[in-house]
Amino acid sequence: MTQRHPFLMNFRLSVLIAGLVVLAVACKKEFDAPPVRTLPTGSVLTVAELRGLFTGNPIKFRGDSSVYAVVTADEQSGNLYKNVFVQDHTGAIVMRLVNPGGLYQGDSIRIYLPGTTLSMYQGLLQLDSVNVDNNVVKQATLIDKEPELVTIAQITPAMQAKLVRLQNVEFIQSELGSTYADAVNQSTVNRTLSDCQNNVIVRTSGFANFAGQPLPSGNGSFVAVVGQFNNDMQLFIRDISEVQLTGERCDPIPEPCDPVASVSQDFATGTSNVDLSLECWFNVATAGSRVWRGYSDAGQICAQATAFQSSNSSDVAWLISPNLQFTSGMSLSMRTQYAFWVNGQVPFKAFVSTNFDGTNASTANWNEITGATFANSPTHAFNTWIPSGQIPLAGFLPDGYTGSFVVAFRYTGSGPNSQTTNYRIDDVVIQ
Amino acid sequence: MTTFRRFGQLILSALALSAILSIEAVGQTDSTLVAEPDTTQNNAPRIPVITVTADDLDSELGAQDISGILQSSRDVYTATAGFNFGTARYRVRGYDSRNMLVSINGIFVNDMESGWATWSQWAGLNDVTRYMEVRTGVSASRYNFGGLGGYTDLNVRASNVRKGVRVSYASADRAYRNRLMVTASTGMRKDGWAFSFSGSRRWAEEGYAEGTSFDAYAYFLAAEKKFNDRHSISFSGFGAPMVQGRQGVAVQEAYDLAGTNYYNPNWGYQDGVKRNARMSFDHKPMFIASHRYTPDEKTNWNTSLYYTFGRDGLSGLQWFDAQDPRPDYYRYLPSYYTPSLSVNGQNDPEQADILAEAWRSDVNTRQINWDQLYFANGKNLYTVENANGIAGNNITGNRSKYVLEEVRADPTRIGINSVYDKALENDAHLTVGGSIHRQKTHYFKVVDDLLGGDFWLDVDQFADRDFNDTLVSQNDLDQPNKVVRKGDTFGYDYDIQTRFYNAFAQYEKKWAHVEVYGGGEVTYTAFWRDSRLRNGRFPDESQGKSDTQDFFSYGLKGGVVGKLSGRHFISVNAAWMTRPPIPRTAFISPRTRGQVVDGLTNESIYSGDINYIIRSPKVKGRATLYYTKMMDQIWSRSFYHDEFRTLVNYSMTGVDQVHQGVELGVEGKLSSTWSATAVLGTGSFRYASRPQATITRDNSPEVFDEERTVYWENFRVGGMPQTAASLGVRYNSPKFWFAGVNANYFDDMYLDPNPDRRTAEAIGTYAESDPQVAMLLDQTKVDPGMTVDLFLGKSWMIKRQYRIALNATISNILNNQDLRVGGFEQARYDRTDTNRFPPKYSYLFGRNYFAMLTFSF
Repeated sequence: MTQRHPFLMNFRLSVLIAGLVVLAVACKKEFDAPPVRTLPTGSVLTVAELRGLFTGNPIKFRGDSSVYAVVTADEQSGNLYKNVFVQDHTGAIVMRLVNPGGLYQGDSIRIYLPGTTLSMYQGLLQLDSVNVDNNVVKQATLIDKEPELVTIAQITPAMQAKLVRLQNVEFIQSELGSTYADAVNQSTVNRTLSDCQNNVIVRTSGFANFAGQPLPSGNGSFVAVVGQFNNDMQLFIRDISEVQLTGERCDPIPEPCDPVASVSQDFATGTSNVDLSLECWFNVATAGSRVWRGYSDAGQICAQATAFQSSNSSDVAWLISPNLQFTSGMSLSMRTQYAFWVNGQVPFKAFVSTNFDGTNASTANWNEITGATFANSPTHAFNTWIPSGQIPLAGFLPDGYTGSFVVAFRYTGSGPNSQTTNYRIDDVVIQ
Repeated sequence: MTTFRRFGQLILSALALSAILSIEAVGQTDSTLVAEPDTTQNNAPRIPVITVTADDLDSELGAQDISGILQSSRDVYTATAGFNFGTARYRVRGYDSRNMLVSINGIFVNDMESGWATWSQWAGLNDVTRYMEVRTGVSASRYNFGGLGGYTDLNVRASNVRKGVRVSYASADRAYRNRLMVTASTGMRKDGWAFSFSGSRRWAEEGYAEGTSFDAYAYFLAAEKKFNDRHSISFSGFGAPMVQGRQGVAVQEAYDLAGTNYYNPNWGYQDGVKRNARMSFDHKPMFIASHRYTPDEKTNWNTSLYYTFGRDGLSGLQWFDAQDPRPDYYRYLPSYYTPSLSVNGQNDPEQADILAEAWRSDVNTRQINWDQLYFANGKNLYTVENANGIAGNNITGNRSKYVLEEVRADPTRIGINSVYDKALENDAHLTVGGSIHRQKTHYFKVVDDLLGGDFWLDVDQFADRDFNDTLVSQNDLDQPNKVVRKGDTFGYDYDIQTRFYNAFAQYEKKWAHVEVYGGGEVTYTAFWRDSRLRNGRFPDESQGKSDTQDFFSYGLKGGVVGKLSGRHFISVNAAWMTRPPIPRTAFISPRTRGQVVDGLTNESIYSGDINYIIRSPKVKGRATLYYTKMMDQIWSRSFYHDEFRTLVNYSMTGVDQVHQGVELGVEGKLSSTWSATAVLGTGSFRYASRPQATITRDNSPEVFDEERTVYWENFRVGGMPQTAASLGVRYNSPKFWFAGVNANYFDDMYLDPNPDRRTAEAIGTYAESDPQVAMLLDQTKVDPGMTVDLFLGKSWMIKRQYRIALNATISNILNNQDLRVGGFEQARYDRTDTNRFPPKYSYLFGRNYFAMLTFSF
C-alpha cells in the first residue's frame, strides 16, 4: 500500500479533529463554598440582663449583641413546638422559633439578637421571632445543665423558663387513670402535680410522644421546665424518662372498692353542672374532655353528658358502675331522656365488662347491652324520662359467669361536627 | 415486455407498500415526551426525562439530506406531528412513550422498567440516527412485533451511514445555544470494510429559561466488515454524556410574581453565580455487535448482541429539621396568607403584601438562597452519638441541615436479539425472531455537596417526625446513626432486576389487489427488588431479594391492505395483546420495601385502525380512524396526603383507558414550486373505568384505606393537546432554496386528574350544591392556542463536490408566551380549599430559532 486514498486521509483528519472535541468530555462543575458570613458578637448580655431589659413594651433588637446560653428543653419529644428553653448561670428564657427544628437539648449556643423581639406573652417573658438559621451559632454540644432542685411552693414567676427538679411529688388522685394529654384529638391537657401541700399544673401537648400514656400513680422525682400562663405556673416535661413517680404516695389511694352485691344510684349527691364524683364509680373521658355531670331536672339531680360547645373533634365520656358480684338473675333498670337530639348521632350506649381494671376504660373489653329501651328520637319525645325496663344481664356475660363485672354508660359526641345531643340517665338499679 | 411489466408491478407494489408502511425519515413523534414532573419532593421513583425535543430534530424540514426513497414516502401527518406539534407535547394518538417501541439494529431498547424509550441516550448523533424507519399504529414489521403506537428502528451500522464527511454548526436559543457536529463515514469500501464516526457537542451557559444550562457531548464509532455475500459483522458504540441544569414547573402565582411564565424555581445565586439545584447527569453508552447472514437473496438473518450501562442522576436539595429551601414552597407564597375558601388558612393580608413585594424585588426570595444554606450549615454544631452503630463513637461537627443529593438510577443491561426473515414462494414473506434481555437498575442516593457542613446524618425526616423513635427513622439499621459525607451512598440502595424473553412470528402475503399480514408474540417477564439496606420502617421486608413477579403475555395482530387503484389504498389493522405491568409502578414504594400493588395482573389491550391513503402526483394524504382500549392498568404514586397527614403510597388497579380519534393529513402540489399541507389530529383520550385505590402509609405497613373507588370514568387523559391542526405552505425554488410557514393550533388539553379528589371520601359531607364539590371534581381544561413557525434553507454546490447548506427555523414567530403545554394537578390537595395546592404549569417557549450551517463532501 503505497498510495493513500485522498478520502481516507480526510477521514482520518476529521476523526482526529472530532476525537479531540469529544475528549474534552464534560466534567462536573464543582461549586466553591462561598465565603460564609459570620455573625458579629457585639455586646454580650447574660440571660438575666436580657430579661432585665424588658420594661413592659416589646423590644425589637437591632444593634449587634449576643447572649450565650445552653438549650435545656427542645422539640424532640413533641411536647414543645417552636419553643425552646435556654438557660445560663444567671437565668433562663423561652425562645419562640420562626420555624421548628434545629436546636437540641445540650446545645451551647450564642444567640445573635438582631431580628428577635423580647416580649411578654400572657405573663411569660419570651424571646420571640428567633430564626435558628440566622440567629443561632452553636458553640458546643451535649452540655447538660443540672436541674435546680425546688419545691412546688418555690415555683413562682421568678423561676420562669428554668429547668427544675421536684422531689416527693405525685399526680392528684382524681386524675389517675387519665393520660398526660389527649393523643386522639391531639389536644393539650393540664394535669395537676401535688406534694400534698401545694399543687402545680403539668401542661402537655397532644403531639407529645407520651401524650397517650397514663399518668403514673406513684410519688417521686419530676424534671420539667417552668412556664406561665397569666397567673398559672405550668410545668412542661422535656423527656418522659425524667418523670420517675414510683414511690409511695403521700395521698394514698383508698383501697379499691370491693365488689358489691347491688347498686342503686339516683345521683342525688351530685351538683348541677359539676362533674360527677361518686364513690366507687368512675367518670372518665377516653376522648376529648367531657365527662358526665350533674343536671337538675326540675330540682332532681340526674347525670347528663353532652358535647354541646365542646371544641374537641370527639368526646367520649364513660360513667362506670362500681364492681358488682354477679349472681344469677341480675338485671339492670334505669331511665333515660334526651334533649336537643341530633339526627345521625348515636349518643348513648350501655355496656358490661368483666376485665375493667378500675382505671383505663379504653383497654377493657366492652359488651354492648342490646335490646333495652333507651330514649331516642323520633321514638320518644324530648325531655321525657323513658324507663328501660328490667334488662337481664346474664346474656351479656360469659355462660355460667360467677365473677365480678361493671356496667358502663357511654356518651359519644363531637362539638365541631355538631353531634351535640344532651343525654341523661337516672335511677340506675343493678340487682 | 414481460420483464418490463413485471418491473412496473414491482415498482408499484413497492410504492404501495411504502405508502402503507408510511416509512418516515424524521418524525420522532415520541421524542417530545416529558416525564411526569416530580410532585413529591424526591419521594416518588423518578421517571427519566427524555430531553430530546424538536430541538434535536434539526431544521431539516427541507429534507435535502434525506435519501430519495424515504423522502418520497413521507407521511405528512406524522412529519407535522413530529415537527410542528412536538413542542406542544402533542402525542400521536395520545400514546405515551411506553407504547412507542424503539429499536436499534432491531434490538428493542425501551427501558425495561419504565417502558420508556430514552432518546437522550443517543441525542446529538443526528447525522447517524436519521436513518430510521417509523411506523404509526399496529403494522407489519420485520424487526419485532411492534408496539401499540408503532415502532421506530434506527439502523446504526457503519455501512448505513452516508459516505462522506459532514461538519455542521448550529446556533439556537432553546435548551442549548450551540451545537457542533462532525460525522465521517467511508461507506462500504471495496475491501469489505465500512467505518463511521460521529461526534458532537451541544452547550449553553444558559438556555432559554433563566438558570438552565446545557453541556452535552456525543460520540459514535462503528465498523462493519462484509466477509462475503453471506456474512457481515458490524460493531457500533455510542454514548452521550450530558449535564443539564433543568427547568422546573411552578404555580401560576409564582409566574405572575416573577413576571415571566418561564420562571424557574430551580436556581439561585451562590456568591453571585447562578447555581441550579436540579442538575441531571446522564451517560449511558451502548455497544452493539451484529451479525448479518444472507445465505441467498431471499433470506436475511440478523443477530445482535448488546451491552449498555451508565449513570442516570438527578440532583436535588434535601434537608432535615430545617425549613423548606425551595423558594416556591406553598407557605412562602402570598396566597398562603390570603386563603380563598379555607377555614384552616391564615388570613393575614399584610404578610401577603410583604411576601409579594419580596418576591418581586428580592432575587433571594424568588430563587434559592444558596449563601443562606451555607450560612446555616456552617454553624450547626452537632454531636452524633454512637455514630455508625459503634457504641461510644461520638462525632462532632457541623451537621448539614441542607445538602445537595444526587438521586441515581443507573442501569446495566445486556441482551441478544435474533430475527430471521425469508421471502417465500407466491409473494409471501415469513419473519420469526426472539430475544433475551436482562436489566439491573441500581437505585441509590449520594451526597453531592454538603453545602458547607461537615456531614449528613442518614435518617428519614418523615419517619423521624411521625414516630419519635430513633430506630424507626434509621435508613440503615445495620449501621445506625450513619454519618455520610460527600460521595457517600445514603437513604436507600437497591436494585430492580428485570428479565424479558420474547419470540414472535409474522406472515405476509400479497395478491394483485390485496395484501394481508398476521403476527403473534409470546413474552415472559419477571422482576424483583434486591436491597442492600435494611431500614427502620420495614426491618423485615426492606433488605434482600423480594418475591419475583412473573408474567406470561402474548399479542396477536393482523391487517389487510386493499389497492383500489395504484393511487388509492384502504388498510385495516387490528391487534389484541396482553402485557405485564411495568416494574416502575408495580412496587408501591420501592425505596422502602419490596411490596407490590395487590392484585398485579397483565394489562390487556385491543386496538385497531382504518386508513384511506392517496398517493397521486399532485396529492398525497392519509385519513385514519383509530380506536384503542387499554384495560387493567395500574397507577401508583407517593405524595403527602393532607387527610392522613403523612406521605402515602397511592396505588390503583383496574385503570382502563380509551384512545380514539381521527388523523387527517394531506399535501398538495400547487405548482412545480409551491406546495401546501393541511393536517388535523383530533381524538378523545379518556379514562374508562372506576379504579380501586389502596392507600398505604409510606413509613409503616399501615393501610389507610382499601377499595376506595375512584370516579374517573370519562375524565380525559392529561398532558397533551387532544386536538392539533396545522396549515402550511412551502416554496421550493429551483435555485436550491426553500421557505415555508406553518400555522398550528392546539386544543383540548386537560390536566391529568388527581384520583383522590374524585372519590366519595374527598367529597365527604359536602352538599351537592356546595361549590367545593365542583372545585374538587371538575377537570381543568387548558386554554387553546396557536403558533406560527417559519423555516427556510439554501444550499450551494462547489466544484460539484463540496456542499454548503444553511437551514433555519424560527418557531413561535408571534411570540405567544401564554400557551400552556404542560401541567398537572398536584397530588397533594386540601379538600376544603383546592386552591391551596393549585396546578403547576409549563409554557411553550416564546419566539426562538435554530439555524444550522452544514459543510459536507
